[in-house]
Amino acid sequence: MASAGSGDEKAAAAAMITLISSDNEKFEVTEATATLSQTIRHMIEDGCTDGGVPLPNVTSKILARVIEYCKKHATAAAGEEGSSSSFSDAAFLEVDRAFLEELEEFDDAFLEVDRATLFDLILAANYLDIKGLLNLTCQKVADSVKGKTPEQIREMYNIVNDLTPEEEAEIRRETQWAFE
Amino acid sequence: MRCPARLHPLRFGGYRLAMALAALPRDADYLANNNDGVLPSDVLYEVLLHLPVKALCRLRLVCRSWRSLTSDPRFARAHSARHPLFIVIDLDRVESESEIHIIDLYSGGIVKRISSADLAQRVHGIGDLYRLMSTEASLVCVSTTTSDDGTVQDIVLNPATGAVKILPDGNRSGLVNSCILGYVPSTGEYKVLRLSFCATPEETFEVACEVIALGGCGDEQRWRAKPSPEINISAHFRYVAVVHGVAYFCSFKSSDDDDDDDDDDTMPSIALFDLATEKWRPSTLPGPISCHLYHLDADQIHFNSFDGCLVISHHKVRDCSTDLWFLMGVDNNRPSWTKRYSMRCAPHWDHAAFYPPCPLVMLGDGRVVAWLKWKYVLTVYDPSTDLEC
Repeated sequence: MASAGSGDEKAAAAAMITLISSDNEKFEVTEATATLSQTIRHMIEDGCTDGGVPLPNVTSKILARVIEYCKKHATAAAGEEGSSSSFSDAAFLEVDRAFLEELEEFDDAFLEVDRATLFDLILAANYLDIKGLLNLTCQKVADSVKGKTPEQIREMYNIVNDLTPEEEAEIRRETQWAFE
Repeated sequence: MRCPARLHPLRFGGYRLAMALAALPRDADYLANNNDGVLPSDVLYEVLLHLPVKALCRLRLVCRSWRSLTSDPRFARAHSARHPLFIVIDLDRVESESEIHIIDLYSGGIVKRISSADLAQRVHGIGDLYRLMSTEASLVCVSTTTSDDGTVQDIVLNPATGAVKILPDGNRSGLVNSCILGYVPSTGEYKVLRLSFCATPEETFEVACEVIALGGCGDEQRWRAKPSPEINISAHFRYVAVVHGVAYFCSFKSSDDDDDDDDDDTMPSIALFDLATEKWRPSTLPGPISCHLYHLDADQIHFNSFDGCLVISHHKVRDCSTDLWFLMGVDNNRPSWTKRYSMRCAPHWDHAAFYPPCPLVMLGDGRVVAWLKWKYVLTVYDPSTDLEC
């Protein structure tokens, strides 16, 4: 009986998924970590993850970062579920706050990357459909953009201004209040 | 080598379709985007969705592709679902005119201020802002004084364009006036329903009820008198919501009835005015809960329109929690109410007995923004974590 029990536990622990990056590197992750990605969740539901999940759009460097994010957030989610039944409301709120703070610190550190990596993370989050990661990375870029003038943005991103002066005047007229 | 994901799960939906799109031959876009430092268009779409509305409008000047992306109605819908705007009126300004503020609830920043002087410049005859009546879609209805004799008039304002329309006086009289602005989907019209509460010689109240369609001409521009509601209703903004062209009012028992059974829980019923037919519906709907409506320290309710549904939020002061009841449908005059949220209030909400959290808007991701008047802060409630944050 005891051996059967541990066998079950093993089966649960062995619910591992292999992710294969575009440069053919293999990553073993738990199902809980992998299913933060809706794309992979659907693949698991469709039963087509045997032999690994090829991710031709994601390099090993980026996939390693994405998995790091998913592991952290999957643990946090599991922790929240576990704690909700065993604490009184007030204690629950306290525990939750500690979780959230720790998670926030992790996210801040996670975003300390160069711009090319950040864009790759956004593309990967979009492709893998990981809502939290997509929000996090997009917000980071949006924050770096929102206080800038159009001229500064063109410089930052090597964008050529292809608007005619007439078009520029029209845009200003359309939303005059935004320039006040 | 990487290929930009030419797909957006929200836009296309479904993993199989997404994979099919990913398998398409890489087009010229790929080459154009594979340039470090340049924002690929998918990234750009996602990033611009995160920008507050004012920055977004300014950055339409960057180049043609940014402009066309932000002009796309699909983008506009996605953006406004994320960045709901809320309109408040700031009357407590010292040494200056009162102002209407448009607030981006996502960032909490003030997007635009409109002062009474701005309005007076556009339309002659507008004095001080007096009271915010009602908002619907992109329009707002405000009471102002007139610049010449200081009497009160109602105006409708489009804050985006600054266009102002002064509503005719009609039967505006009496002690309390309420304007309810509503959009009628079947005709595409905006209408205003105005209720004027007047004292009668018998020391009771009567309610004059009239409707005007905005944007009409000739006869359309006049208030059309409508029958009064047959039961007591409140026209306070807390107890009114407009959903799909129907105005829902909280109905109270008259004070005479109340003397008999003061301590009983009462189930508030709901009176409906159809803005399309401009008639009161013949019967009222029972509300979702019984509560002590006259005991403000026990129960407080609030009407809202969220997610295309009438929502009644019920704040239980003693339990320190707020339930949100959604009207999912009405079958044979029997409403089906669903409690979709039960917001636990953090311990410090205790003090909120007389200023319960006032739910303002539901964000696209299901979070609810509430206004805590006594703290002067906006708070966001996230049902997935059961926390305010």
